[in-house]
Amino acid sequence: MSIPDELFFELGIGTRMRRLYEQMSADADRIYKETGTDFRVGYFYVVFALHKRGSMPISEISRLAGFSHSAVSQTVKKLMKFGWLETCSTEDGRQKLVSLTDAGNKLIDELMPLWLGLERAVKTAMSEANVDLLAALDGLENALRGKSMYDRLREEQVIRDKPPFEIVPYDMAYRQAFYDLNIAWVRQYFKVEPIDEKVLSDPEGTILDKGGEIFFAVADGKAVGAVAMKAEGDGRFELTKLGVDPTVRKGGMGRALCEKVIERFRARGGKTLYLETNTVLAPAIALYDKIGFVAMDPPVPSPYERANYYMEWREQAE
Amino acid sequence: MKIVTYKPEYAQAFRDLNLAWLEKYFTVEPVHLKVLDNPEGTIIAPGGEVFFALEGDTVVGTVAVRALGEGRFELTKLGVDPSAQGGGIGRTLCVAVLDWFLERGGKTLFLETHTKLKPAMRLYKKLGFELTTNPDAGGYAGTDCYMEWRAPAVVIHKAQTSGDIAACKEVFRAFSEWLPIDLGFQNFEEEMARFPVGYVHLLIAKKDGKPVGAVALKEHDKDTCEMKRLYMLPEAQGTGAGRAICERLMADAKALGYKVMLLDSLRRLDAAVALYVKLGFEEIEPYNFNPEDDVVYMRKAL
Repeated sequence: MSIPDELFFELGIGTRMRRLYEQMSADADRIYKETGTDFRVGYFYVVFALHKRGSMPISEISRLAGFSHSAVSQTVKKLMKFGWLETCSTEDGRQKLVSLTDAGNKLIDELMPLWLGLERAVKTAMSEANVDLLAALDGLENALRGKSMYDRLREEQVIRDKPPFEIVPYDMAYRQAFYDLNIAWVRQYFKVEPIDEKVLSDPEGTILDKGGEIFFAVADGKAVGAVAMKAEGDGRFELTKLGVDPTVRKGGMGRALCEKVIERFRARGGKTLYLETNTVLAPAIALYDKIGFVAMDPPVPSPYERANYYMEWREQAE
Repeated sequence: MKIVTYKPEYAQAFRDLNLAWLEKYFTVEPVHLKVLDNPEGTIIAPGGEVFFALEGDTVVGTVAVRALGEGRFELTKLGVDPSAQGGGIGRTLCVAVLDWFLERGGKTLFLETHTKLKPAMRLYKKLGFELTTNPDAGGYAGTDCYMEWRAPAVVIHKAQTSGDIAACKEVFRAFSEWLPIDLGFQNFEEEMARFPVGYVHLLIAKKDGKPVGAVALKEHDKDTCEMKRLYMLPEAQGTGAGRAICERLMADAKALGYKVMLLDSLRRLDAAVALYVKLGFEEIEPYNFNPEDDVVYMRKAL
C-alpha cells in the first residue's frame, strides 16, 4: 500500500519492493503457520524449484532464483535439517545434487492447495490493481541486465565530470544568443543604453569587422554563454559583453569564456586588455580579480553610463 | 575529424608536425624555426591563423595562413602526421584555409613549395593553385615554386562580415522582385529591416568578387531547419552555382547539428523544384501557411 506521505520513489525503489515483499510474505507465513508445518516463505524458491525441475545442484537453484550461491546453500542446509532435502553426488562424483526427500514430497502435497490459492489471490490482486507486475519486472530486469545500475551511474558521472559546454568562435547560428544573453543582465541590473543595442544587434559591424572576436559557450547545440573581445588598434583590446545563461549550471563558464579571450589576446600579441564594469556586479569583479585583472583609473571616459570600474589584465607570475 | 583554430596547447604539435617533413626533405633553417617556435608572434599576431585537424584529442595535422596586408595571404606550414596521410586531412585543412580566406574577403592567396613534394603539389593543383612567377622574388629557403590560388568562377562561402551580410540582403531583395508573387504574407519587409535576425546561417555566392547569389537557413526546432530565399542572379543561373550552394548549405546544416531540412517553393519554378528533387528532397504535406495555390513543400533528412 502506497502510504499518504510516500517518501520512496525511483530513489528507494528497493525499499518499495521490500515493502511489498514483506507485506505479502507476512500474510503467506501466517497461512503456513496455521497449517502447523515449519515451512516458511523464505524456503519457497528452493522447494518449488526442486518440485518443478527435479534434482539439481545449488548453482542451478542459485541461477533460477537469481540469488547468491551462499544464500541458497544456507537455505538448503536448513531444509536438510527439517528432513525435506538431501544431497547426493552425481554418478561421476563431480557435483552435488540437491533433491527432495519423501518427507519433502509429502510436504509439497500438503502445501499445494495453499499455493494454488495464493497464486489465485495474487492474480486477483494484480487484476484489481490493473497492473501487469510480471511484465514490469521482466522489463526492468532486462533493462538492468543490458546495463547495470553500476554502469549507468558511472556513465552519468563521466558526463557530469566533463565540462558541460564547449567554447567556440562566433557563428551566425548564435547571433541571437549574443543579444539575448547580454541584454538579460543589462536589463536586470541597469538600463539598456543605445550603445548596448548598437553592439548587440550588430556584432559583425561593431566587433568582428573591426578585428575583434566573439566566443560562445555551447551546450547541446545551444549557446549558453558569450563574450566579446573588441580590437581598438595599437594592441589595445577590450573584454566586453560577457553574458551567461543563469539557468545553466555554472561550472566555470564565465571563467572559461574570459580565459579564451585572454588566450587570444596573448596569441595576438596584444599590449593592453581592459574591461569596464560596475561595482554592483560583485561576483563578476571577483572573477576578473581571480584571473588577473587589476582595478585602475580609466585612461579615458567610458562610452557606457553604467561603467564605474575599470580593470586591466596583468600577466600573473606562475 | 574536427578542424579547430589555434590554441597554445597545440603549439608543440605545430612545431613537431612541420619539423617532421622539413627534416625529411630539407635542411631546417633559422627562418623555419622562427615561425615554428613562435606561431603566435609570427602568424596569429599579424592577423593570420593556424588550423589543426583533431582526431579525438590528438592533433593529426596543421596548416597556417599568414596575413601580409592588402588582402595578400599565404598558405604555409601544412603538416600531416605521416601515419594519417592519404586520408584527406591535408585537403580538409587547405579547404579550411580557403574558407577562412574567402570569409575575410582576401584578394590573393599564395603558397611556396618545392616540386619534389609531389603529393602536396598534386593537392594544391586540385584545389586550384596555379604555378606563376613570384612578384616578391625573395622566396623561402628550400622552395622552388610559387603558386597562386585561382578561385573557381563562382565561389561560395559563409557570409559573416557586414559587407557580405548586406550583399545577401541585396540578393534577397532581387529575389523578391524576381519572384512572381508578393512575399508580403511572409512579412518580407520586416525581415529585411531586421536582417539577418531570424536566420542561423547565410551563404553567399560570388563571381569575380561580386555577389551573384545567396541562400539562408532558418531554424524550426533543435533538429529541423529550413532552406530559405535561394536565389542566383541571372548571370549565375545555369552555371551549377545554385546546386553547389544548396549542397554546401546541406553540409553546413548537418555540421550545425540539424537532422532534417525543409523548404517550400512554387511548382511553376520548375527548374528549382527539379534541382531540389535531384538533391534528394521529397514532397511533404504543408508545414506553414502560404496563400499561393501551387506551393510545393519538401523535406530531406540530412
